[in-house]
Amino acid sequence: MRFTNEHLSLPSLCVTFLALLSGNGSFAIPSPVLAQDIEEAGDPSEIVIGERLFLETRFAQFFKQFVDRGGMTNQPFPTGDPVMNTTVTVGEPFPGPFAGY
Amino acid sequence: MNCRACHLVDEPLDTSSGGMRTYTDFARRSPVPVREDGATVAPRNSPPLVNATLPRAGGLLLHFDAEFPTTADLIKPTFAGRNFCWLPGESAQAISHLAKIIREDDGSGPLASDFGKLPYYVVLTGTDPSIPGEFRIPEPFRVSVATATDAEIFNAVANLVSACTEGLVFSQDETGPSICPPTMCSWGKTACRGLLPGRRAGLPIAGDYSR
Repeated sequence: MRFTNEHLSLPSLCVTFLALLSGNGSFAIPSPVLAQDIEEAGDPSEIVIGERLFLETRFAQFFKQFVDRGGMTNQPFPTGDPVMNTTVTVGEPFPGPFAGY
Repeated sequence: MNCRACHLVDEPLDTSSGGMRTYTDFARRSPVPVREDGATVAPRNSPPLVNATLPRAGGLLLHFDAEFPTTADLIKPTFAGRNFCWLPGESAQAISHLAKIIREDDGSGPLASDFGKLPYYVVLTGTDPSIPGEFRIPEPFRVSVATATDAEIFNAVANLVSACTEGLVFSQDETGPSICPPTMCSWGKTACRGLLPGRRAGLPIAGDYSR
């Protein structure tokens, strides 16, 4: 479920290719540090933990109803919020990535 | 419900008629959970988050109708509002419930397993020496969960989610313009989630780009 930034290879390759072309045929590597270079080092911890909270489903009132009926905070959700079952589009919906949560 | 359900990225990549999103959805108006008020959708769809908080000359105005001036101002009523299934008048319950989850989480859930299996109270308190560096939040983001009020925990959560969303920018080179335009993202192979060096260094953003 975690978003891991593993998709950055294509833009990184594009930048590298453009950098090579820009060196008058001399295949020079630019000296400035690019954004994606920084990203390779990993996100700051506050962003990582913020991302976890961004994904958390138990803050919703639907989960409170579950707790009020005797469910425990760390107990697996027997049936998730139905609104999560599908992703709404302007056409046909498709299965929601968080169905069951 | 969670934030990501409507601020999608690569989840629908392999879905027919899906594709890459920049933390937005596919709906005209985003769906909300069922409650007795009968509402089924929010007033708007989910705005893209990537580059949404770049500094700009006219100041930051969020949501398409400029409902909020800061990300924290937006996040708090979202966590305590209709998108998360809370009705008007239930804000106190929402804050109390969120604080309860933070206090009682034991790190055993599937989401926590992607983040070191650390309980929220350990992560947000931030002082346990066993917390790996990648999960040890800086002091300004910490809150002493054992002694904090519900509101203090709620604010700490909002600040962390705010930091996360403000870190969502397209990758750029040293001159500022995007090297990863949205059209490229629509090809479905790039996440375009990078950190902008100029922004972190407090450097100005090009005027054309900030409008």
